Amino acid sequence: MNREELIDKIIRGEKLSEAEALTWADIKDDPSVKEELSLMQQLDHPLKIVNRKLLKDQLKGIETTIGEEQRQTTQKPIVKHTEIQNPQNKISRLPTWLYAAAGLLLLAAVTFLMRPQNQVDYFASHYEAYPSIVNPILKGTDNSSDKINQGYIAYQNKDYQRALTLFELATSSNDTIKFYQAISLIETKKPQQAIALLKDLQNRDNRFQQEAAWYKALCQLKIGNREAAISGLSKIEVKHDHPFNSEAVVLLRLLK
Amino acid sequence: MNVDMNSDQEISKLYLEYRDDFIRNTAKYQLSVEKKIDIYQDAFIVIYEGLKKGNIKIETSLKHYLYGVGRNMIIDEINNQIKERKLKDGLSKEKEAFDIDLSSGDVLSEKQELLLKGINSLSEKCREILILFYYRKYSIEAIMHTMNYQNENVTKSHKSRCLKQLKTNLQKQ
Repeated sequence: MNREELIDKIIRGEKLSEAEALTWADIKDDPSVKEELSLMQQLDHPLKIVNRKLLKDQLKGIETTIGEEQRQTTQKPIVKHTEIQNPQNKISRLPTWLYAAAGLLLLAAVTFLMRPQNQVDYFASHYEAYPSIVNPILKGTDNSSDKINQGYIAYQNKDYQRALTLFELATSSNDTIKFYQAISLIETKKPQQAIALLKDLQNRDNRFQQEAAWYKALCQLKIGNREAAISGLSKIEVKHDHPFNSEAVVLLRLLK
Repeated sequence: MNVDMNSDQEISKLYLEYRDDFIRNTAKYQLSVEKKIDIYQDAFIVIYEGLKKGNIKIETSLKHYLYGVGRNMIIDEINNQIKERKLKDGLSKEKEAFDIDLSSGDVLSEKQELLLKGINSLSEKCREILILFYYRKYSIEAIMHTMNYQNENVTKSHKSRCLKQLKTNLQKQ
């Protein structure tokens, strides 16, 4: 270890090893060492003044990043309603729609930022029913399929209670039906029951796995389970390709 | 209470942690969000410097301290605005025991004045590395990540070169 490193350790208040302490004992009375140590000890105050500007610039940089993230999200184009109803398009069109949704949700978040809010308010300002991306006409023709088709039509018409009844009457089920059932449950103010369905979808590999995670976190918020909501949102926050990543980031910031 | 601010990540995390709450909780004060963010940054710097110097001890929560300092700064700002309009009212009664001036204690000795001049005449990179190492007490590894150096040895030798440059600047004065 050279002289500079030794003096660095002393002025940074770091513990010296036995060998370093012995070396220091040997050189500390040398006038040039004394002079250098004195100079370095006086460095703290001027550096504090210069650091103030550096830190302020750093914090301004964080604000700029926040602003840019918000601008990028809000500038995505809004997709026409008809584009999300064709089942052939549903996978490829979804991210575009989600960008638009993210923009709307972010705007809502910024608008509500200055208001004192409780957890249910956060739910209201971030929740939006998932759009119907299923075309009922292309479905099967047996009795159960009729119920499901009618359920989708009711969902499209925002008649969530009827959609729920019809989905429940259908004898067959699949992940898509379960997902729309869950959203219908949220819409009919039964978040606890929705959580059970969403949890199942979230824990299995399926088309709505990621969407289920977002809506489940919102439901936790709705029932006042803040910790569970934060935990769920934190998992979305670290997945940068998650379709609700930007919404989760904003909501987490508000919650923490 | 132990508060870690030994890397840019920790600083950013703490800054963001209380930012939105600060803006929301000061909603009753009639200042723009931009101004409140500016004040929040100054309050954050005050707390940062206090913690470094050891003249602030966070006994309850950092949030409480940050809000206290920030709220007082907001009240000062409003009072200054009111003063300008000759309509000063009793807002200062709301102030709590968090009065810390950013510039207080900034009296420098002659040698420190020279050091300040010397630091300011360094390149931006040199200023930054010396601040990170000697004032913020970042580790060499943390500086390497913050300033995107190739490895720790490159970071160390750049720090040494900058310190030598500072000493040269002092001799020239």
